[in-house]
Amino acid sequence: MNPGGKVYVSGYQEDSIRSKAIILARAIRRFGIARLAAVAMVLMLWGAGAAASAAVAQRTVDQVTRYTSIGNDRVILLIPDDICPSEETQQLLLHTATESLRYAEDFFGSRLSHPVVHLWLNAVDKPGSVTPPDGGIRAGDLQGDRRERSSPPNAE
Amino acid sequence: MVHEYSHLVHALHARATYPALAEGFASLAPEYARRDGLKRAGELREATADDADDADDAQEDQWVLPPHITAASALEAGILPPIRQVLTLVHSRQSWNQWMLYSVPTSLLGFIDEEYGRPTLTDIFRHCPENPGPIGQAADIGSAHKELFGTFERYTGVPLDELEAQWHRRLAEMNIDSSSVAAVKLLKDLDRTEMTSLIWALGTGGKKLDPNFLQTFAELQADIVRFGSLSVSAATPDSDTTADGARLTEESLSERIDHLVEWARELWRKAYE
Repeated sequence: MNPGGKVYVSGYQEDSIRSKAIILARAIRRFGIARLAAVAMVLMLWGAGAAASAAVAQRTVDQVTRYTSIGNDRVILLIPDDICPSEETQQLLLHTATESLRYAEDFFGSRLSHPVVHLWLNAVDKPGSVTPPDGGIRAGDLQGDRRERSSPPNAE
Repeated sequence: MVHEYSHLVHALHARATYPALAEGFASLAPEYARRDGLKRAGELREATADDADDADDAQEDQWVLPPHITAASALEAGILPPIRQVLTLVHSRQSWNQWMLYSVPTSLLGFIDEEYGRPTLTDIFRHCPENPGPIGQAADIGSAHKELFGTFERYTGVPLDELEAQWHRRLAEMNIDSSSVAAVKLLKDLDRTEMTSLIWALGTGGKKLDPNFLQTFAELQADIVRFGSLSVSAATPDSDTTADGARLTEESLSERIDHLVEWARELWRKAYE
């Protein structure tokens, strides 16, 4: 998926991702599925990993930021195995996510260099649930892609 | 969600910048998103020329960046850290530190946005220096911090001390409720539970913190925030009552902190049994 995407994940961000995954799971249990769209969000910056970082580091480095380019190409929406949000809820979640990203981009005047792919993690086969809507991709469909990565994700 | 996506957008420019900046920027955008939502819903109006004739009414209706309330309350309470400390705040399990991390840098950045304009804010957003992290030579960290402070001076065009003075003047002009000032003091007092050390001490004996203690801690913290109207999400019409309907007062909250501190001491003893 999106082979051109480059992602830089720091240790700090990884810790943050883990904690957000836990927070999300707790929030869903606490507030219920009806409020999933309001609270459910796990971000994971995911991509080519350390190899890409090393490759990019050899290019011309910005004097201020020290980085030449950066891209974030995947956002994981973690849906715990034990809940089954409806298709409507998922559509609302994806819509809210898209709107939120647009707001953040407009607010800071910065655009992501790649379209974000929303991965539906734990998108298991349950009747009538967790079928990623248009614009979302079942994380399980990326198993082959995962094996090619140089560093494993930490949000699972 | 705007908070998390702001982190995503910020990562375009800084791989691992200072936590205070990362959380400050990520917390600022959602506040404006909420304001825009209120405007769209017709629950918020822009200030008009007539408001100048009735300052009290204007202040009630006019939107104020919520993190300014925490910062202004902390300033009045005498517990607002100096600007250099604010910019280098890090994550911790200490209640007051965590609350500050997500609100005080946000207030500073919001002030820059209001006073110097969005282009200045986004310049700083794009040029946040990388955080050298806790490991390293003190001289290197000192140099990195100078780079951090220099970023603010370069884009605002004023020395950091002057920026701090301007920010404090703005905060001091706010009409802050006494309950907000009391709430920030209570949040700081909550740190007497020494949660971080307690978890570590329990961990050395293979024990975990009692989940009931954690839940009580979280509920108390939420009640303090609600009592002081420190958060928009917590500022409900029933902001002076607990979830059970009991009335919130500074005294009752203080007593609950004392009880929690006693409970923590008991857990300390059990940690080494």
